[in-house]
Amino acid sequence: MITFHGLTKRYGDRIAVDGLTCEIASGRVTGVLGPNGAGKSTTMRMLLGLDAPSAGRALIDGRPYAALRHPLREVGALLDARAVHPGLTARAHLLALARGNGIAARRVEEVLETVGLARVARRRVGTFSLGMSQRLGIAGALLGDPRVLVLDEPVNGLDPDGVRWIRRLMRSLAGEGRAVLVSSHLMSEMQETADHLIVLGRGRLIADAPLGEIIARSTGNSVRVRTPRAAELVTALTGAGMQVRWTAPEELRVTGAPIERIGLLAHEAGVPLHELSPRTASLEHAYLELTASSVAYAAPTPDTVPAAEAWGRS
Amino acid sequence: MSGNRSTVTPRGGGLPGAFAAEWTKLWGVRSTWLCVGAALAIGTAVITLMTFSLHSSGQARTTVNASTGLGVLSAQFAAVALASLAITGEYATGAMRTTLTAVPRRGAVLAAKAGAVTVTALVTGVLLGLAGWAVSALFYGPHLVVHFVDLVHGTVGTGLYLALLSLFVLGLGAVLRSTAGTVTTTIGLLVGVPLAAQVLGEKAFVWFAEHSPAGALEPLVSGRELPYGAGTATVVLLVWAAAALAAGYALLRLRDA
Ligand SMILES: Nc1ncnc2c1ncn2[C@@H]1O[C@H](COP(=O)(O)OP(=O)(O)OP(=O)(O)O)[C@@H](O)[C@H]1O
Ligand SMILES: [Mg+2]
Repeated sequence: MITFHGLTKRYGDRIAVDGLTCEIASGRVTGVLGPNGAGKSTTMRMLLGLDAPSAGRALIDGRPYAALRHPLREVGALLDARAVHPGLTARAHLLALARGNGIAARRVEEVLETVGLARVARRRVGTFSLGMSQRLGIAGALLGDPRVLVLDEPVNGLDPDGVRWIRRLMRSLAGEGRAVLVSSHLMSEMQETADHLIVLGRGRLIADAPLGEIIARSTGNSVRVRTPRAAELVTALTGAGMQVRWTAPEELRVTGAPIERIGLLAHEAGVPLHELSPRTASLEHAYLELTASSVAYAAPTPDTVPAAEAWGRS
Repeated sequence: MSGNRSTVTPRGGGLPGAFAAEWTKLWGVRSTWLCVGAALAIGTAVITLMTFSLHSSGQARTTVNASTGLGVLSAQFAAVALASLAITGEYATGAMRTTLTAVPRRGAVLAAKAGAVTVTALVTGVLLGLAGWAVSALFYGPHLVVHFVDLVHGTVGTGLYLALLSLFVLGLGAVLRSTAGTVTTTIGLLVGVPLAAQVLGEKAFVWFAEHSPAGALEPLVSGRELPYGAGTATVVLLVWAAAALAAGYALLRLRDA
C-alpha cells in the first residue's frame, strides 16, 4: 500500500505538489488524473525517492522507498521510458537492474518475452521506437515481481494492440492483489481500467473516489425521455425543479433528478413515454468538470475561458 | 502475488549487487571498449615512438618504464572520458533516474560506479605498463635494464595513477552532471594548470601545479622523486579523488535526481 502524507514539493516559488494526503490500496488500479503540470509525475518521483519532498512523506507499506533493500522486488516503476542509456542492449539494461536487486537472470528473459521484446533483446535501446521503449520500461517494472506498480503514462506511444495489452496487464496485476498506480490523459482508457481515481489540480487533491462515484457525481448524468407529448411533460418536470433540454421534437434530456422520479411525474401527468433511459456521463465529462478551474496551461479556445483567467480562478 | 514472499530470504543486491549492475552497464556500452582501446593504442604508440627516438638517438640502455610516463600522459584522456561517461552519460539520457530507482542509496551507487571505474582503470594502467616493458624490450633486447622497482612503477604505478584520476573525474562528474563540463575541466586541470605554472612561474601557483593530479604522474609512473616520491604522489591523488567524490556524494544526496 502507498501512503502520501501531506506530500509537498516546491520548485523555487512554484508549488508542484501541495499537501497531498491519500492512500493507494492494494488489489485495485488507481488512476491519477490531472491537467498538464498538475503534479502527477512529481508525486511519483517523490514516491520513488528521486525527488526529495519539501514537506510530508510518501511511504510504501510504511517505509520510504530509499529504505527498501531490494526496491525492484517491492515496487516496479515506469516513469520515463527514455530514461535508459541508449548504448545498452535491452537485455544488458534489464540484467543490470536484475543484478542490482538480486533478481535471477532468468527473469530478464521472462519479462522480455512478456512484453514482446525477446526478438530485439540484443538491440541497442537507442534504436528503439517510443512504443518499444515503453515496453522495455514495463519489462523493467515487472522484473522483480513487485507488489506495487507505479506507471506514469504507460500507454503513451503504444499501438492499439499494446494499449489493450497494458489494460489487461494492469487489470490482472490488480487482480493478483497488487497495488497499481497509473497516470494517464486518456480518459476512455482510464474509464475502462481504473477502479479508483485520484484527481490532482495544480498540485492539490481534487478528488479521491471510486471511478463510479466520480462519474455519478458529474452533472453530465441525465435521463433521456421520448414522448409525443413533450411540451406537457416539460411543464411538469420544470415545475418539479428539474432541468430539461429539448434534444429533438419528441425527445428531452433531463438532469437533476433520479430516473424514478421522472417516470413517476410522467405517470402522474398522464403523459405516455416511448423511452426513459439513463445517460451516464463519460469520465471525460466528469474529469473536465472537476478540473475546469485548475487547468494551468489552457489553450484559449472559443468556448473556454482564456488561460490568464483560468489562473485567476480557483 | 506470491504468498511465500515473506518466507523467502531476499538475497543479492546490496553493494555487491550495485557493483554488478554498474559493471554490467559500464561494459555494456561501446564507449567503454573504445576508451580502453584508445588508451592502450595511444599509450603504446607514444611509448613506441619515444623508445624508437631514444634508441635511434644512440642511448645505449634504458629501463622498462622510461617511456611509459609519456604514454600515460597521452593515454590518460581516454581514461578521463571513460570515467566521466560512467556517470555523466547517465545524466545526459536520464538513465540516472533508472539507476537510482534500482539502487536508491546514493552512496551505494557512487561506490559501485567508483569500483567499476577503478578496476577498469587499474587494469588498463597495468596493461599499459606491460606494453611499455614489451616495447622497450623489443628495441633494447639484452640492453634493457630490468629492475623490479621500475616494473612496479610502470605497471602498478600507472594503474594507480589512472585509477585515482578516474575517481577524481567520477566525483567531478557527479558534481557537474555534464560530460563536456567534466572532461573540459579535467583537461584544464591536467594540461592548463602545469602549463600556466610554467609560464607564470609564480611560487604559490607552481606549488599548486606540482600538487595537482598531473604533478603526481611522473613520481608514480617513472619513480622519479621529482618533486616528491610515489608515496606523496599517491596521497596527492587520493586527496583530489576524495574531495571530488565527497562533493559528488553530497550533491547526489542533496539534489533531486
Ligand atoms: N525539476 C523541476 N524544476 C522546476 N519545476 C518543475 C520541475 N519538475 C516539475 N516542475 C513543475 O512542477 C509542476 C508539476 O509537474 P509534473 O511534471 O509533476 O506535472 P504532471 O502532472 O506530471 O504533468 P503532465 O501531465 O504534463 O505530465 C509543473 O508546474 C512543472 O513545471
Ligand atoms: Mg507527467
